[in-house]
Amino acid sequence: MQINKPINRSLPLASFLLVLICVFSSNSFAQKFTAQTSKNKVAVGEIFQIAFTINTSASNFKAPNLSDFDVYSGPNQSTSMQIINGSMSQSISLSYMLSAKKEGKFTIGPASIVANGTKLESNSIPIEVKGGSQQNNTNNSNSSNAYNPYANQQNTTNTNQQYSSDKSSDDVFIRTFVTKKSCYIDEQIVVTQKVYSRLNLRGFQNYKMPEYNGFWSQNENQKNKQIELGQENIDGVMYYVAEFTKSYLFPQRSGQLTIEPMEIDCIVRKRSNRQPQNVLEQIFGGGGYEDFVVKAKSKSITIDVKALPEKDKPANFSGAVGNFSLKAEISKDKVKANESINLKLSVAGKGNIKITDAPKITFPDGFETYEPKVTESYNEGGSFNGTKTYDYLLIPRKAGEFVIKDLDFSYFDPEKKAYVHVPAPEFNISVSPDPNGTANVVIDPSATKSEVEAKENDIRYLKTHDIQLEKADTFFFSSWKHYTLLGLPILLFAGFIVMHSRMQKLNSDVVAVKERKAAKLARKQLVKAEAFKTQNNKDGFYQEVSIALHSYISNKLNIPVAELSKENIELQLTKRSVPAETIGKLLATLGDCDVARYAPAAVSNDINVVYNNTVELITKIEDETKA
Amino acid sequence: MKQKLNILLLALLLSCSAHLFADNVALLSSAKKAYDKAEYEKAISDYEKIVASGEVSYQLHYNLGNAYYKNNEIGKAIYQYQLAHKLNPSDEDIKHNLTLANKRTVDKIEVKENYFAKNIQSGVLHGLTTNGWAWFSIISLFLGMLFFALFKISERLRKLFFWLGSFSVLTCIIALIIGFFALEEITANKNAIVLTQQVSALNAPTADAKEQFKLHEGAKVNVLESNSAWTSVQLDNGNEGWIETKQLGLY
Repeated sequence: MQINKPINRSLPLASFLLVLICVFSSNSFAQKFTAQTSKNKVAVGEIFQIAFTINTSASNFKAPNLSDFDVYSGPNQSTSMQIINGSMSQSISLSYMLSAKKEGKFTIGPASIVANGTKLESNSIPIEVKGGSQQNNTNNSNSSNAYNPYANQQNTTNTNQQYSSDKSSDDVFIRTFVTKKSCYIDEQIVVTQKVYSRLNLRGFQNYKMPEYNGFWSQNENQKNKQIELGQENIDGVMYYVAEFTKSYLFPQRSGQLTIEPMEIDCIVRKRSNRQPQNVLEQIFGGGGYEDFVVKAKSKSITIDVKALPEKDKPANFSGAVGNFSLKAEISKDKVKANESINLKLSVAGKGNIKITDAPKITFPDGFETYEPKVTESYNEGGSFNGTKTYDYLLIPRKAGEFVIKDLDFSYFDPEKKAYVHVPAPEFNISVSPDPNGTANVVIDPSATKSEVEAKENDIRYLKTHDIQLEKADTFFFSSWKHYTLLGLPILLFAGFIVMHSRMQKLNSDVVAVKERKAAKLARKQLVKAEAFKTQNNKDGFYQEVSIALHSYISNKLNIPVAELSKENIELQLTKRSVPAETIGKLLATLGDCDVARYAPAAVSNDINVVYNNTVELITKIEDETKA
Repeated sequence: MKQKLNILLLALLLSCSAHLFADNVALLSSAKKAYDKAEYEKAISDYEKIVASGEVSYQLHYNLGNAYYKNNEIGKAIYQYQLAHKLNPSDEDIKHNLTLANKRTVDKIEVKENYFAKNIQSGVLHGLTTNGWAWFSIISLFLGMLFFALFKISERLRKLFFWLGSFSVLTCIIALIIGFFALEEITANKNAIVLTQQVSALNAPTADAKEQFKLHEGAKVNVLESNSAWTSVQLDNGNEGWIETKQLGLY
């Protein structure tokens, strides 16, 4: 315990020191996160810039609350890198273009950013906003300010404000042009949004595309579009005109459909009434103009959409409205079975071609067909037009003569106000049998295929049997139950081994007991023999002696009686170091017994002598095996 | 000794039998009825209640997956099928429905690696459930011990029984090893399914990080690391990104 204490105490100290070192070392290339503004005093509506700069790489920038201001653009990110004396420094700046909504004193910030894992906060910026009339009081301190692209604007904020508030209606406006105000469903309407301005148009920002509810719309490709500026005379006043967007609309339902207004912030340039500040400005005229933002909004337009006439509507009408032509081609008309044919159907023209479905064609039986490959190409311009090509792959599976017909195409022509039927040729195809001979084997491939599909198209039904709920994330594997059950056979085996060895021991005990009692048993047997001897019953006598001797040897040597042979007895007794003489006597006596039992007359020996010999033998063997 | 053994066996049997709560049995049947009447929302809520009670089975996940599938919530359906598949990797119905559900997902991710070796590996791992491997190990150990006992007693077939016993014990060990790997795979939550219609994978675990790629409902991703808020995922084509954990179903 006593050794531990100083260590415990020094640990926090060490870590404190470490933190200190870290702080100082990081301070040597200090991370600075600063906020700057182009102006501290602005007029309502005047555009000014705020910029947040950090001199290291950082992420997680959180902008301050700018709800008191209109954000014209931003955050605009710029990165700069400098290498001085071989050491690189980097700075990132995020800037906003703002204008104040109302008079008063505001504070912007602080913004926060995460650099190298630490959160940094910028300084906050006080902004004083004054009304338009008082702005001339604003102090011109901007010559020292690096972030001031709009420094020169200060003197002209008067006009700036004026434009952004009320000039939008006549100096700058948007007109929406439509090719038709009344049309049929799916008939093409071209909508053009044009910006008119009496002032020089410099650019657009924050535009909101109108919503075309109820229309399927295709906007003109904007990617490579350069907005061209033209001039137009309206009521004797020259306007700059820019075609802002062009959209192709296809009304999808009948009734009154409205094209919502469009809003654009236009950046216009106006000659300022401020005098040029220096020589450069006098030469290049830089000081004479400034840009400001004007909001422009178009008016909504209502389109009256009529439903397509039901009268004379062809059966194969697939919804095409416009003006189309049809071309059908087939790759070959003489094929062998299982060879493929290409059928190409192309619809070209102007109208809602992009949203029309593939023509429905019923191919003859025995033709394997696939979904057509569709290729489309479209042109934009005065109207939306193009070509849609359907490539069908056909594989006849049977030999014979076939006709592909009913390829005709129908569309509604809004100009003629009628349905137009475009006829297509019929194709006669003769299919010869497949030389490989498989053609006739396939009886009806389409039928079997669809059957299989139907089978595989739905999920299989719920499982309702034998649901055994178990505790989630508990597994039998590696659980105590599993280990117990694994242990069980091992335990059983161990038990078996113990039992087995005990039984063996017990068995050997029995042998020992038998051996010990062998002489006793033999003597008991000999008592019977003695009885026969006194009766002089030779037969009975020899039998009892034979049994006594055999059972004695069997017990003594642990050999079953049945396995007692001369050789066996001799072998076992020799092993137990019984002298050969005794063994010879024993075997002779046993032989005598056998002979006497089967041929009593041949034995001449006196039974008394035999009896004594036997008793003597047993005693002898007992003595000799003990020693 | 014999008595003790009997008591032990009885205890084992009792604890092995399933704990079917009466509530859950009722929920199972009411969910099935709702499913049959095409009231999939009801079926889903019933099945989810059972899941919430902490009791699961592969059939439950499969049925819940079916209900989600029918209710056109493909992401959740795939997630449930995957959970079911994990608990019972050899069930054909699960595989079939999972394949169908996967056909309805948006993202087609190109697989870069050659999965031959991996297929063999998963074939072995998924040959049996972890329960299957557990019982396999127990039975083979039992047989092994039986053969060794016979080896002790027998006189004429000693050699045969010795080899049979060794073989069985070896099988037991192999089953245990495979089982451990399978269990590891199940519990590791290495995969995830996108549950919501569309998610953005970002380049860092912060809300304003840059978007790397988009994924749609039902897409399968590999999980590299995960906490309660963010999960780092990798697609089969090698792309990596961070996704909010609540938009994913980890399994």
